[in-house]
Amino acid sequence: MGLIKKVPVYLEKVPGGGIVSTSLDWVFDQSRASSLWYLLFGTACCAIELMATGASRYDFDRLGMIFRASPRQSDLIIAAGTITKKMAPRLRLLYDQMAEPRYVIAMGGCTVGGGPFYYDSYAVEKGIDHIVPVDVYIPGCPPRPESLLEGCITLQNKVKKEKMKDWS
Amino acid sequence: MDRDELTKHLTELFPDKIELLETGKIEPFFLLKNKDDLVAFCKAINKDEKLDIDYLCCLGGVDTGERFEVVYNVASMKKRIRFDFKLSFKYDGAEVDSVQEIWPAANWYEREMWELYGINIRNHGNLKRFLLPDDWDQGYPMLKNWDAPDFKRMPEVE
Amino acid sequence: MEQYLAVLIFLLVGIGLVLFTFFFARLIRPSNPYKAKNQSYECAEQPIGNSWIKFNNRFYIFALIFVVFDVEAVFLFPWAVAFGKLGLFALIEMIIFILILVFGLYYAWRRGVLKWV
Repeated sequence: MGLIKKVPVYLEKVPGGGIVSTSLDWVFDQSRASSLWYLLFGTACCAIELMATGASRYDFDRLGMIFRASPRQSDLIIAAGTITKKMAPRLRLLYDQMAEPRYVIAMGGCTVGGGPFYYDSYAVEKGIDHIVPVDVYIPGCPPRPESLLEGCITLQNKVKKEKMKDWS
Repeated sequence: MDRDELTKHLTELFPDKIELLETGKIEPFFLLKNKDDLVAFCKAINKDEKLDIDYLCCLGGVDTGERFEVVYNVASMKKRIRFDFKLSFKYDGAEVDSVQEIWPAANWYEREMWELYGINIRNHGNLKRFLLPDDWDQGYPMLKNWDAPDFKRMPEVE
Repeated sequence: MEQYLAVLIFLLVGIGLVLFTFFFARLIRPSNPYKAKNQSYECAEQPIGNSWIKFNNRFYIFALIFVVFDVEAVFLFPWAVAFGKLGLFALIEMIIFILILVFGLYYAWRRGVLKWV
């Protein structure tokens, strides 16, 4: 079970196996980065910017990103919008119900560190990295669609650097 | 009816129970001096033909630091009247009657007030938490002296 | 006899291919289940109630009618292939067969079971 995680280990021992290992890494990383399907998770104003980025002028589909309604079918959560303390366990459950490999983008000031609600708010979770592990932070209130696309490209570059032996 | 007519009409209906506050707002703002008169006052303004108040716009609590206040914004759809009134009472024994028989919208507003301030509502019937998380145990957040480990107030700017 | 052997080998290879794919994939892929991941998905709330619901019996009726007419088609194919060598008697007999089944279709239609809603 899970024999594919042992493949790079054995390939390193074989002479010339390192080339196969890195080529396999390249194939997997390219395929994963070019088709990151994101979960439709928009709570507040940043969700409108997410919808605008997914629409025709700034298109998400050209990066291979399609929205899915269920976490079982997606491998990216773009947490767009304020996450309150009441919403936090639900976000954690959604993240848990995604299959690996899974990534999280924190979009907008509220998810990065509380945003405008950092002072004087009793109900807002100040930053979602208390709840889920975040890969890319995109500041802004709300970030422009170009910023969001830049964040997604940054995530793609991060995915392209992964190696098979680091798979969970 | 404009501001002066409204003030005159209300002071005729409720002599000595109501007082006009000069706040500079367009809509008149009254203070109901005794909070036990609340239900009688609301029923009277609901049934009166010239006022016909049938719409409770908002209901909310205020913590001024020394006293509690409960502010009611009411309006009449047919007669095009809007005004506000408030009750003011001390922290001890903070209890208000429910006005949900007169305006059913008060149900959720009173529940929110109970949940965030701790003002008890008599005759409500459904005081359950619905805004704060289910496992909230840190008190009533909207009080002026409330504090929590991750709560920061906006610092003063010179 | 050799033709039946060919069918048997076909069957075994078909089943074996599918089973091999499943088991090989199971062997290779990484697997990391835990309790929150295995819970059934109910929009991030805790699931309430059973997820086995009663389904409507129109599915059963559609499947039943499909099976009947599919078997009719199975009977029609060899007849159509050997049509040239059979005489008038086979034509009349097949028309009677089809008429019996058309009557069944008319009955089902009038009963309203062909409407989906």
